[in-house]
Amino acid sequence: MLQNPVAITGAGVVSPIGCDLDACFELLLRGESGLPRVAAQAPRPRSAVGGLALDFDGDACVGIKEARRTARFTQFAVQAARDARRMGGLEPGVCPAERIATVIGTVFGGLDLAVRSVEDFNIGGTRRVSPYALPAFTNNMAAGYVAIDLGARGPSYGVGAAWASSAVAIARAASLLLRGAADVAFAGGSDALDGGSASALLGECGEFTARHDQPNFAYRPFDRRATGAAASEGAAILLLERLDHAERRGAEVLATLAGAGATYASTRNSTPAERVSASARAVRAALESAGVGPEAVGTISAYGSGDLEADALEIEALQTVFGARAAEIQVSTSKPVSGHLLGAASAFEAAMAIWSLRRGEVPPISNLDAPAVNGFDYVRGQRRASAARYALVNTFSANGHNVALLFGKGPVNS
Amino acid sequence: MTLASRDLSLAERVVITGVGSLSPVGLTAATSFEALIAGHSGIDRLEFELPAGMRVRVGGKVHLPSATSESEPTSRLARLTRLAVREALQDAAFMSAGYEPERVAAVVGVSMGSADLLPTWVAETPPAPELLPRRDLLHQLLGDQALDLVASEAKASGPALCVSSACASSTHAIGEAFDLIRSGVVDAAVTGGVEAALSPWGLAIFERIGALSTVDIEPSRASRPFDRLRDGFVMSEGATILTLERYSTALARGARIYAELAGFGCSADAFQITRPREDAQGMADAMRAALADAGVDPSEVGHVNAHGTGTPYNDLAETKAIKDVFGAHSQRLVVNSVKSMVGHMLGAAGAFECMTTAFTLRSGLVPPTINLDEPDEACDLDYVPHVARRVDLKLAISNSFGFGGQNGVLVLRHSN
Repeated sequence: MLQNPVAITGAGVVSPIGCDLDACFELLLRGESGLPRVAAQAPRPRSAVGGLALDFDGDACVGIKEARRTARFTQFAVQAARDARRMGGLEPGVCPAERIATVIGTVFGGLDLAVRSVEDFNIGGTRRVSPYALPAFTNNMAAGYVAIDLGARGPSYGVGAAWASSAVAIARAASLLLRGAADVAFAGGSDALDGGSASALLGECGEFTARHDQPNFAYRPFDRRATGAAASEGAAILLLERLDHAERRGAEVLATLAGAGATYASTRNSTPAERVSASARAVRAALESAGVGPEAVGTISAYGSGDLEADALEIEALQTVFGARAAEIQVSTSKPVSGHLLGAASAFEAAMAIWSLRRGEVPPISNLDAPAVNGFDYVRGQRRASAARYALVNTFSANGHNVALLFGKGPVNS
Repeated sequence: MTLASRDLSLAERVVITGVGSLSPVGLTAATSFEALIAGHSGIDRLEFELPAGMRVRVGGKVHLPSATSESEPTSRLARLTRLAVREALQDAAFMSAGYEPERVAAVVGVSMGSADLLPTWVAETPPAPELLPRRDLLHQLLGDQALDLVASEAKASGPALCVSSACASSTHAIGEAFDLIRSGVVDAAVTGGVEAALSPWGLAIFERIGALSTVDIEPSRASRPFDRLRDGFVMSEGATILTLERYSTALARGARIYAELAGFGCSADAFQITRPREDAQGMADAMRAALADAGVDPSEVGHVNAHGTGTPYNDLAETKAIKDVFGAHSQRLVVNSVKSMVGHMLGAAGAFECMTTAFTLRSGLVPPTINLDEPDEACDLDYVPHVARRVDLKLAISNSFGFGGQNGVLVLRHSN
């Protein structure tokens, strides 16, 4: 989707494995899962297993008053965006306010607050409903609050594309920058799980594991004993700007977003073959928009749904694109360690892929004891050195959405 | 950075070729526009039983016939979406245009998801264990289902996304679709917005923040944008879907062209969640960005389809913003708010108003702002009070300013 590369100059995350990117990447390299059980708090049966961002302190982040009036997904986004801004050296005044955009995806928004307001309304009518409920829970509020917090007066809106929300947000933000509608953009995603409503819905949708007895081992992408994904909460925000803009202000380029591709194949009425084809096309579109061929890709951050059929379709789609080269491409995914961060998943995976490019190291896929489908060089057991110049980050068949983001190694090796 | 849109090749310019719409004043795009020109209101007394203490009495309901078959979707949001997208596709003869599916995008603005179903789901706590898991429930509740319906009906297999920016959602959605075409990612798009939040709870959360009109008045007179006695917006529901194509393709296949999308601009107030900036600079920035994107001077614009919700804050700020952007020319603009007749469709409002603006350009007929008996003294523009007007127009803008301070403006050009 891009005519020119866009620079990533900052990143910030909130996750069950921590809120510091270096520390998260270290855990990933060591293959240490950090998923405390979330199911115990859920009010409904069949709720999903997953991780909570226990390191995150909402009171410290937005202040006690605002923490009571805002949804957690917006608080996560605020913290992650602040970290991205700090990392990118984008102090107030560096860039005019109206040239700063905020495009942030979410799946659930503030669903728990919405549910609570329904319950309050049922008990006591309008007067019982919090006046802060509506302004807090709608899906645009991650972008809205980040814009207020950072004083960002450029384009601002929320994006919804199921588990691909943050990938779509990143791609659209890049497009916005390239057409000159803004000079920098905070883009990514955020989702929160604390109240139980989201977990309940996830438990019913069939993609998420119910193995509450083994939270750290239940999420097993590409493994023969895959049981489904484990949901996590958190946020991941990247700071994007045009390459020339980054160079002019002397910002360190962590990586470039070289290309992006997105397709849709409804899970309700597509055959597996159509889904594979749509996934492959997203990857090809990303490569074409970057002006590179499949041979340029050194590593793939796979989607890794943790569902046997979906995993197999992912591998098939990738084999369609990479053909005989497949065996040379290192494949990894961060999801068994961090959990699936829902509307933030793609952006979190992207942040890990960027760290991987910078450090020249690829983390192993945790819980991968026996691959169900061979063909790629799955990184297993140990971290590996990598000379990759391009890393592909995929989100496949996320309720029909397929988004491929191609990141290029930054010009400066840190 | 971009060329003025009129200097682009026809292949790089984007037009509206089909429209489908359901609103409180009509079940098709044409009937709704006819009703607007006639100055008819679709606002009525609410039929719900409301708990004691709720003051809102009126709303704009779509007079949807009862479901006739089991194959109809069960959520109101889905039903509205399906009818609107089918009408748009048929109107444009889109499916016989020969597009490759991966060259068609689907972009839908939704602000509240399936707000009609959320209370039903909450009431089920806890669900009986013997109930089968419902795989699609998540997507139905959160509004993804609307996007899926649009993409599936249009067989669109390119980029697909929902966009949310509260009351500006579908304006941003149309803008994104516009950008996907002109940047070359796709050749066509099916886009718009849908909302079905008119329920006791849906009304309560807006009443609780003081946004709704609650004065005891005849329903058709409750929505009073720019009027001195305005006291809030009237909530309504609806769905509007548009088909967008390259100008060159539309001409080549003999498609009807309603109007050209000439520009899109957005901004954020970055101020407060439910109130616009008092200096109205966020709104002004969005208008300026849209005009700059279109490569047109403010003095070339003849018509503003205002956000015009009828809240004390919005109408004042929007008037100020229009004057800031257009200067002396603002006195020559015809400004209207169709929300005076159909109420505020939240996430669906922007798309309905884009449609209305396109129809206005094509027909030369500007719908009135009804109920404007006595303008607020700070609202001194020509808001086309009471009666529709025939005006020759070349360029128009449509404003949408969402809660959270997220602003989106579209520029439309007469396609002659």
